[in-house]
Amino acid sequence: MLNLPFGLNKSSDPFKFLTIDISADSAKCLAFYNENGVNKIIGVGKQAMEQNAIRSGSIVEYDQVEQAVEDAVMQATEDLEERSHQTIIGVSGDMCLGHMTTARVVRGTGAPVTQKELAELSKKIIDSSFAEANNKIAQITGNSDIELELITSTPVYTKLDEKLTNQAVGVSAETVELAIYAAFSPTYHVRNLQRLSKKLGLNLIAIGSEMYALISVLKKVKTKHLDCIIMDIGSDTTDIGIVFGGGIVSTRTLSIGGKHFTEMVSQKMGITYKEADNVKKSYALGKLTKSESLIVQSSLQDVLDIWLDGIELTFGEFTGVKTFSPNIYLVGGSSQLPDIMELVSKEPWTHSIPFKNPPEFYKIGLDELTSITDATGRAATPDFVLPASLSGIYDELRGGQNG
Amino acid sequence: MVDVNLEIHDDVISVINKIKDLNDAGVSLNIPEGSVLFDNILNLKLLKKEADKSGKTLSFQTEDLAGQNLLTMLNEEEGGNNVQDFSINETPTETVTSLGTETPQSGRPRRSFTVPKMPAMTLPQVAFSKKYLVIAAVVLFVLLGVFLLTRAPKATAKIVVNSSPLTKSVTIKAIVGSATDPTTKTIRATTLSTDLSDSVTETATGTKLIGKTAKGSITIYNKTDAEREFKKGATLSYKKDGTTLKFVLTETATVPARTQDDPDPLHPETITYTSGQTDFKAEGAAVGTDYNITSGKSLDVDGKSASDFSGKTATDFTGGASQTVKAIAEADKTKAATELLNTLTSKGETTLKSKLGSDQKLIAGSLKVTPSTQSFNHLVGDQADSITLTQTVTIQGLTYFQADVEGLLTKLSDGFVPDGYVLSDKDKQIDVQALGQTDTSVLTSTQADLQVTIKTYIVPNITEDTIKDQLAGKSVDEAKRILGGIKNIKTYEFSINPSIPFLQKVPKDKNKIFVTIERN
Repeated sequence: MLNLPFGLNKSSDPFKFLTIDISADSAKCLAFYNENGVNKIIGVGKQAMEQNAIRSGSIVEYDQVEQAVEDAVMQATEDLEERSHQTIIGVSGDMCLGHMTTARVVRGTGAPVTQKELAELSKKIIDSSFAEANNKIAQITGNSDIELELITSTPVYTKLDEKLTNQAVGVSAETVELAIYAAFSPTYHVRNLQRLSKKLGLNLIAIGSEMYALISVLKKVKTKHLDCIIMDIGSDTTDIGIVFGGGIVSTRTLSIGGKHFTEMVSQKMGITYKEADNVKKSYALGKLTKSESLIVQSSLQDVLDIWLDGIELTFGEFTGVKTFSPNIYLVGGSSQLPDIMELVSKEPWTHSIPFKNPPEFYKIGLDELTSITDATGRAATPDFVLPASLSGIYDELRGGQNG
Repeated sequence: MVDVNLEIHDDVISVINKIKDLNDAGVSLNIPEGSVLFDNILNLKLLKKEADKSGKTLSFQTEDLAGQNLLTMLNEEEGGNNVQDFSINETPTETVTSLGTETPQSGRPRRSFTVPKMPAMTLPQVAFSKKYLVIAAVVLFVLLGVFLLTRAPKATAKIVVNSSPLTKSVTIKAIVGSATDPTTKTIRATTLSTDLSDSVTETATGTKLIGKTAKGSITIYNKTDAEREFKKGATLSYKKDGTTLKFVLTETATVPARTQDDPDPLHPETITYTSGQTDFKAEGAAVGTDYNITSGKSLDVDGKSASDFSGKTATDFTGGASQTVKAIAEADKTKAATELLNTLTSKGETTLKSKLGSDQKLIAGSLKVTPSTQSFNHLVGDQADSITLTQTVTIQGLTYFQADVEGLLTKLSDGFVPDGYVLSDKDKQIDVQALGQTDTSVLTSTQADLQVTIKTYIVPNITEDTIKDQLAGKSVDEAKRILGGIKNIKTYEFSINPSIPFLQKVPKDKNKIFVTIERN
């Protein structure tokens, strides 16, 4: 059961909810209807934002962001009757520090495990996780004054005497091992999102990690004990998450994303950012002529080389991981660029990284997430995968009855 | 080693490109406080890596405290010195070890957890009387209160934002009686007028021949059968050496018809005639000595056939004389009129400008000069050394107010100033040029088409008050993030004084927040 510091409030229709993803170039909103355990997309909204309204995931131009979110929500809900919507907002990049923390306690007694004992252990784990998050953000930013707030915590697994169990209370065991995933976000960012929700009349039920949400829906398709790497190529960042046993062990963020690819096309081709974005999208969809494609390809070459160097560096940041899973899932708007798949698949960059086997890369599309259906036909692009995945948090809030 | 000064929004990609573009082998990056590069240590690592790939040595300089921390960590890591200081390995809660290499089933991590222990501390026991304790507490409280009242923390932020050059040119109309209206790109205009008198004297450039005509007598011979009257003014021509001199009869007289002579007894078949003849007083048609010709010179009677009439000087023509003197030419009159118009126009412009308000501008070329009186002291052809023109004119000019132009530009600026920016007053140049009277433009004393070119800078639309609102009550870290996030910011400085532990927040009282914005 997912624990969030907000809670599921009562709403006129508890089966309808919104998910919101705020990235550097746009605000996206999806309206869902939970029908027999399947989250059906019934409204889609996307509103572009000016450059620099968001910096590394942090809201810089609050008014612009608020307007963009409002527009996206309006688009997604224009056919809905309700005015007050249950809403889940996703966070990612530098605004989300998530990791799994495990505690193994030798009890020294074979007495049955109690609820109180597990609760105390959970609290200690979360306290330790919080300390670790503070360390981590200081290491990343050099600033130890950033206040963090817990946004997500959920048990990943429980083991009694080295055996996985779904029911630990009342069972006798010498050792108890509990793994909890916890995600934190800077307090100022959480306050901004709360303020934004209040202003727009949204019933904020959760601020959740997008990486975690993706894993939660992916586990329904793959396996509960999924081992993989998620590479989310977003607007201005690329997030890498290491997943072991269905839990996110650690995440790191590289400050290069689709925005930089667009800027490079803009610079090299001498066109505006907006025009470059359109050209890039057409290129990704294979709608350009061969000669046009070659120009875009050469424009992207330098920045993609730097991006790949950055990816290699980012893997080096996971110093606690001895071997990496070879299954790498690509997600995010820029994952549809053909050069990305070609680059990561062919370049020898993986040689310096301890993968268990030669890595294989897969793109995640909405059609693969079977717990989600798109009734609008308008959310098929890769940039809607993460907002759609946030519906996994809704499922967990409702007690996991949907999956 | 070349110094490169970065700006706050220079991200890792743009900095790498800057480094690559440099020819120097060593690059020193000066990173401003709040730079996006300090959002993530990976940015600095990537910069190092790319510099290494380019064969360049990279060093960093910054005043940013968080940045300095990151650079220390980076240097320690590079030196292989205590890598574990900031690796996640050290933290017991994240000693993640994949067991996958040994046991494929357990690709899941095995982790250990240790609750951090606080060091044991004991405080020395000091016996105090409760009375003294209370007094000390009150004194401390009062001192603290006085301190907070007099030395309450003040936040100071100095923001330097970049301005971007902007040059725009628009065509507008200035119309008398019209109101300033951005939809029609029109500004109000007014007409100023003044009356001026002046005179100009021009030296005569014409010449005139003066003197006496030669006088004498001419005999006209009539070879016809009818008498013929020649009136005063009739002319005869004397041709000599290719020139023709005219002589004018000064009296009217009749020349009798020819008469038949008596037959010659020796040649009775031959008939001879004697022409009729009359002497006339005459004079040269012009002055000069050329007309002093002797008697007996043959003349042609103008307009008559030589076979019918002919003439001959009956006496010497004498008294003819001449000399060239200065006279008024038509060009002299024209020149005087032109010069006086220019003089009056120039004086009129000066006079009109002296009548302008402080914000009022005269549109060049819009002057209209209307003469009311004018008189020349000589006619063309008069013998004179000079000609003087005296003239009175009314001069009108079209004027506009600079404030109207700036007001119109401000209203039109929505169209060419990007969102989030405003026009800066710094180094603003507004150039207004009349387009002139052409097929496509108008320039009169009541209406003018103007080309207005503004050269200025645009700056982010931020105000000190807005910044104060955003900063009030925020933590230092949040405040720096807000300042660093300001669009087009170049650099900023932020401090809270005095620096009191546990009071490191921006005051909520906006009077204690001092913000200055410099626009470069």
